[in-house]
Amino acid sequence: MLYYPQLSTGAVSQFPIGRQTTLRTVSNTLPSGATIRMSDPGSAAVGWQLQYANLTDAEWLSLEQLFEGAEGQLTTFTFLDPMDNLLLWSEDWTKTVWTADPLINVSGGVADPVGGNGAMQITNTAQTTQRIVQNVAGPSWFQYCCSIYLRAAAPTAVQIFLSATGQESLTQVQVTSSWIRAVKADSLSLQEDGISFGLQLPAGASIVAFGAQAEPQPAPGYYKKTTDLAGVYPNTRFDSDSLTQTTNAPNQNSCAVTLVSTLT
Amino acid sequence: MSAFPTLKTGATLQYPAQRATEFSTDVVKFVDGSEQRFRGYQTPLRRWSIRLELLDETELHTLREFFRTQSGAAESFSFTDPWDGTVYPNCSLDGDEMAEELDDAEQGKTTLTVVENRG
Repeated sequence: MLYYPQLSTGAVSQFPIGRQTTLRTVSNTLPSGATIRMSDPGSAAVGWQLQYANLTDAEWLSLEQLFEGAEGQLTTFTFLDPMDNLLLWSEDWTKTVWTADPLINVSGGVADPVGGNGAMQITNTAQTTQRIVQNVAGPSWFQYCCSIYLRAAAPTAVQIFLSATGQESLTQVQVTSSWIRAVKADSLSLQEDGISFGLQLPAGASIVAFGAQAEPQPAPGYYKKTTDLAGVYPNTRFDSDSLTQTTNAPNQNSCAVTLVSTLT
Repeated sequence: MSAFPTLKTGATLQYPAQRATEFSTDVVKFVDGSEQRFRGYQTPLRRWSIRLELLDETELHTLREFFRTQSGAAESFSFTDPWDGTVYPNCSLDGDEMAEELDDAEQGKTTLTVVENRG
């Protein structure tokens, strides 16, 4: 499987980033000004304009290899949107995209740190540690940053982790009655398709969690609430059959890349 | 019915802000130079151009999700006119394309146009 590469910094792109969402509405406007509108969801598409400066030769090579592997705009690859959250349903962990161990209880409607009721009460009713996790269709070896807002009525320690089959990376976080943003940034050495992000609670622990976010970068960005669409685009293509490299000095390359994908 | 999202400041738009009032007039011109005019709309329709800059990633993402959940121009929402507070219950986005630019984590910009609908 092909993946759009990260830079050596662990980021997918550099600023500025351009993004277009294109949908289609069939509209019938009557003489009175009234309109009848119908959405055509099958035509939804998204595009990105990425500009790179001062790329090392190795970074340029990874881009060029992907371009050659995808044969220009012929075949697709997976792109992790640097402007989005990779996790689905970031404020509703009762959805099926979240896999909870059997004795984890999740209930919503709890006060969150931004003045709403989007937080969840998560309780481990088992006698052992239990987990709640979401799988993402990204490469396991990328640099990721997972972040979650946490609070607990009774101080406790939970673990935030990222894992792939056979390898995981955990960080213990002390949760108190004040909101904190727990962050876990790491990259796994294991090379496989797919990676999971989640929380591990000790026996009897009960916490309030809000705003789960995973990003393909070394540090957390602003929180982005997601529902049924997240920042993983497995049907992305280059928008051109040409990729131009400009070398400004030894080991300093620049280029511009335009990507397109269906909005799914 | 959903409502157009506000920024973290509570504002809907930034300066310079634009609002338009639109009528529809049919003009029939005769050979002798005279003409008759017919009113197309019973009442005028409003249009707001919302140009936003210096948005952080959260605000930009919220607007993008609103655009997506509205299916572009397909769905209707209520919009409160920032000039006078009037609530227009039947509005939609004008156009099916949303362009964004993120120059830094707190320097996002986009433009959306809201139109009042009838019927």
